[in-house]
Amino acid sequence: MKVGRRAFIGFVAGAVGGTLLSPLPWKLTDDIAIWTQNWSWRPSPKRGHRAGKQTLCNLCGGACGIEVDFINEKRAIYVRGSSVNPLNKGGLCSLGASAVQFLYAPYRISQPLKQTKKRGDISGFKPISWQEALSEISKRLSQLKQEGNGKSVACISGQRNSSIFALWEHFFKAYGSKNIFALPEETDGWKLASMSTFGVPEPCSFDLSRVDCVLNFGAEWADNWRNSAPMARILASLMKEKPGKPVVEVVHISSRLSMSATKAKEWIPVKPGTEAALALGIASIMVKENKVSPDVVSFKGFKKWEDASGKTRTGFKELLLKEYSPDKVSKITGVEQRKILELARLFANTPRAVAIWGSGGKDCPNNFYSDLAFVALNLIKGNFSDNGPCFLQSDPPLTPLPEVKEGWSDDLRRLDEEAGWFFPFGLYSNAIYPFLDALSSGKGYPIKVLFIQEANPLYVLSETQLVRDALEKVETIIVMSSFMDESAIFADIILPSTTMLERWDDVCNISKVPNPIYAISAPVMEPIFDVKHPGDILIQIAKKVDEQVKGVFPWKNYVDFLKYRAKGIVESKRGAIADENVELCSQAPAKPNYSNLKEFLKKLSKGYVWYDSPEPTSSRIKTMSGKPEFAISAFERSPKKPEKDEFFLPAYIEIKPAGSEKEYPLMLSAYSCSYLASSYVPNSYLMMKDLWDFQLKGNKGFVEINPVTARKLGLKESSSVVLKTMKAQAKVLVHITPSVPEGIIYVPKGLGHKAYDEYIKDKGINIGDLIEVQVDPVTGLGIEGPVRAQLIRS
Amino acid sequence: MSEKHSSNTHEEHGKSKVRYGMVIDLDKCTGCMACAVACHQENNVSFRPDETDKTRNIAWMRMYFLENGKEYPEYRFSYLPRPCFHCDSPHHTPCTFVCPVNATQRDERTGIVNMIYPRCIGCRYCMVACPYHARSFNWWDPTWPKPLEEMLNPEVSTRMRGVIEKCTFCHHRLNKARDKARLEGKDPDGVEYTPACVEACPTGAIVFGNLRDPESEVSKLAKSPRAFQISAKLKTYPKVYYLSKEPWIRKLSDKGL
Ligand code: SF4
Ligand code: SF4
Ligand code: SF4
Repeated sequence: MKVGRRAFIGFVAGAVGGTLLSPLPWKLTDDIAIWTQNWSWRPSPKRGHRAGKQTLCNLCGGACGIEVDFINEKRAIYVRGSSVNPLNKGGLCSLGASAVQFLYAPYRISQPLKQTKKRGDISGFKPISWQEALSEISKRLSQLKQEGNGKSVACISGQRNSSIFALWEHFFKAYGSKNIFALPEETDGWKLASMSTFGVPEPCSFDLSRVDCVLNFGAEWADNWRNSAPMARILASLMKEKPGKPVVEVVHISSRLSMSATKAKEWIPVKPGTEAALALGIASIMVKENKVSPDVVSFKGFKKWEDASGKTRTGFKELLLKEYSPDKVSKITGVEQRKILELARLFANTPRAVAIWGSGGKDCPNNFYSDLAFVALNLIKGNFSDNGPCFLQSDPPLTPLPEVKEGWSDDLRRLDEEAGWFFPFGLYSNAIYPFLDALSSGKGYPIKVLFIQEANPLYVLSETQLVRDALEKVETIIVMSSFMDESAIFADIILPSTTMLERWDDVCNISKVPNPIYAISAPVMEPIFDVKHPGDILIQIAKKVDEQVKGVFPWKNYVDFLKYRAKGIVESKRGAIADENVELCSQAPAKPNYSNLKEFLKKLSKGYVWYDSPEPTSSRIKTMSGKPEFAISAFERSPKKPEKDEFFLPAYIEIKPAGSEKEYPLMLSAYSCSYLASSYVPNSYLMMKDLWDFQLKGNKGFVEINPVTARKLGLKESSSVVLKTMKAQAKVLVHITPSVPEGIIYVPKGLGHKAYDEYIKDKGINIGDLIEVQVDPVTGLGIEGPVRAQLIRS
Repeated sequence: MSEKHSSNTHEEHGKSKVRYGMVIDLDKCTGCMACAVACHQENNVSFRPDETDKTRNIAWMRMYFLENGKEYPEYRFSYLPRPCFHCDSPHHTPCTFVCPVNATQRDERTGIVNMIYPRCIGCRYCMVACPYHARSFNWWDPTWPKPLEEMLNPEVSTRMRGVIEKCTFCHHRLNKARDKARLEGKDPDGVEYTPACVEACPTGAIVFGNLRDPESEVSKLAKSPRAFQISAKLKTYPKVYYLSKEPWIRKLSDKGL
């Protein structure tokens, strides 16, 4: 319920006055008393002993410790955060707190199903046995492999940071396909920025435990900056006043006043998408005022440099001074020159100052050059020195998977490559949109079998129509999901999966946390339906494909596989199991406090996590020069490369959305909230309950508009409008708020489902339907920038 | 400001050394709503397909939206999580005062304002009397689509159509903690326990405890210069305090009083 300043006070005074002075007549009370006696039915839950079981939540790919309360060890009734876990230290997020609602959700799938009618017709699903389903699938897979058509099998997984993704990759390697993708994440782009700068595809991470100043370029930590609960805890504690210590300066830079922005010590509004220009403006002043870390001078591309062909190219220093002077940056970003100088000096003069960045809460990749710009700003500050605060993530020392001898042949190409897409960083890229584009346009080769594992791409990805067109082209869609979600409805075969509380999973590393992390989410109960872990399904299928694939799948089941993986850590004798007193980010070396695998797994299955100290960046660098590089060396070896010098360096690139300004005078962008789920797991019943009535009213969703824009368009609060983009249109209500800038309108992610049940279905709009994805020409990643839009009064 | 009368009132109920209370730090709160989800999960708060009419839906922990009234880019906002304030005004709270059938009372040993559902005749006087909109009315019988009934908590009875419900400070958790203390031969009065919302909060924004124990974190925070109560001058003496360093938020709380 929205309560403005006047209303807030108004109802308080009004309500009390009203009641005390004019009580209702007694007669009315009698009537109500009679009426209330009609208690028809109310459930009374069975009594019993309540006790908790410890495990780990991984609903968002994170690793928060939780305790699940059971009645008589049978019914799961409640989830609390567990304090033994150094990531969440006791709290959790609204998704984690909802875990039992997903377990008992009426939209769960209880047995394997096969579509007998037209694809997408939910009434056509007929139960089949597990045996039938699995043998049908493995027969088809062995047939395709025999025909030498292994590449026509693809997978979209929604569980990237778990060993199941490694298992899929392993399977595809043995089977002979490169078409394995994950749901996009912001860090997809970070990996490639690291690949360019450091020669390793590991995302940047931050030790925020000992910083004095944070310049935050759109990392919406209080809205959605993976992973919610730990990030909220870490950032909120930064802002806490500690006696005798100055408060950490957290400056937020973005165009929309998000929760993270409103929490910051200072908010610098910028024109949308220009955060990178400001970062370069700050770097430029640091260069001009000689405030750069001394080692930077020797990094390739800082000064004039010679590329592989012998051509001399502009250096980053020169580019900064020329193109990113305060006056130019001020014009691009809308930030006053004085302010840019002030920020630059704050950043340069605070000993431990760090720049963090994000995608404005959308958790999708940024354009390549802007990720590079933020990395460059940290480099100039010397933040990648061995004690941080910036690090490259490093993987826990898990047992490597068995070697695949007859793996990918030399001429095997991913579908997008076959279809003619080329990206200098394509090899390391999660190029899911180019893949879908190739699929939908029938280019390359046909996809015969597509596995969708707990990903729900038909809702989670943007450009829903493209995704649908692509899926239409697939011969057989096999969906592994716990829920009858949009993608499950579109399946030919559904293999229902266990939910978090019923299964084993692991989590390898946590976004933005510099320490290598390993954690295990153990089941706290038996599955309540005839469902299986996707990992178990995959292992069973793999064993039936042929002898060659079977040969590299030595595991009995998924638990066996997880033990095999975890053994590597125990044998490495590295790291330690963290308890509640460990401050993860800190540099204190971790001393092993476990002795064997059994003990290790036992501890981890209770929500403890294994961690190691972050590895110094200097020991990780794999560039040709042996140092970080500003120059994008990959272009030198690439058949396609840009013309201009400035595209060989970190830069601010303006991304122009399609469409005419005349027809579509507004810009539309998506945003995220911490209390709305926009990935594979939907909003829970109780999350839907808490939604603001200015985000959902009845079944109507809202578009957020600045008061000035609203006035110009003659719109009032709750006016009905049609929101139209080049992709689609939708009916929405208007919410007028000064949190958004003029001319730009916003819609939250996480609503507008077309599946599940009446509590979620058809509530609000799915912004993904309206958004256009632009493919980054360097990385192949899909960027969900703002799109042109218009509002039509209805 | 408000702290002055509050510290006095909690002393007025001389008999008990216990006054459970809460402090919610709005500077820390990120509006993630985990507290509300956890509360409603723990307390079997029912839900319906359409929960968007906030004058009709049931919420024990409800979020309010505060704005500083300025334009972009000076505009700022904050969420304000609101449980029942378990008012400590002498003799009666606004709600207990008007209840014709004693269906809602304050337990003077703990200061908790509770609800006796079977007594409630649904007149909704208390709902109107509560200055903080903490009370919700069951306009419909609660139902949970199968198999969601499995998740219901047997320690909290489900309510029925025609009665009022609200935050109980997780009273059932207190009772359990008291039982445990008794079994262990300890003094059950003033035992420490944690309500669901408090344990859920990822940023530690909610602190709960005995306001009369000068050593408790909650009593110390309630005396913080950042502390305030909502509409303190109504003399309802809320036992829920808020913390904020933002002058505009603090001003909202007592503006016009
Ligand atoms: S942040 Fe992620 S892992 Fe933590 S409680 Fe929420 S969903 Fe679970
Ligand atoms: S104290 Fe208990 S009943 Fe009250 S808001 Fe918190 S969780 Fe809900
Ligand atoms: S759980 Fe904590 S941070 Fe989240 S809304 Fe509640 S008080 Fe605020």
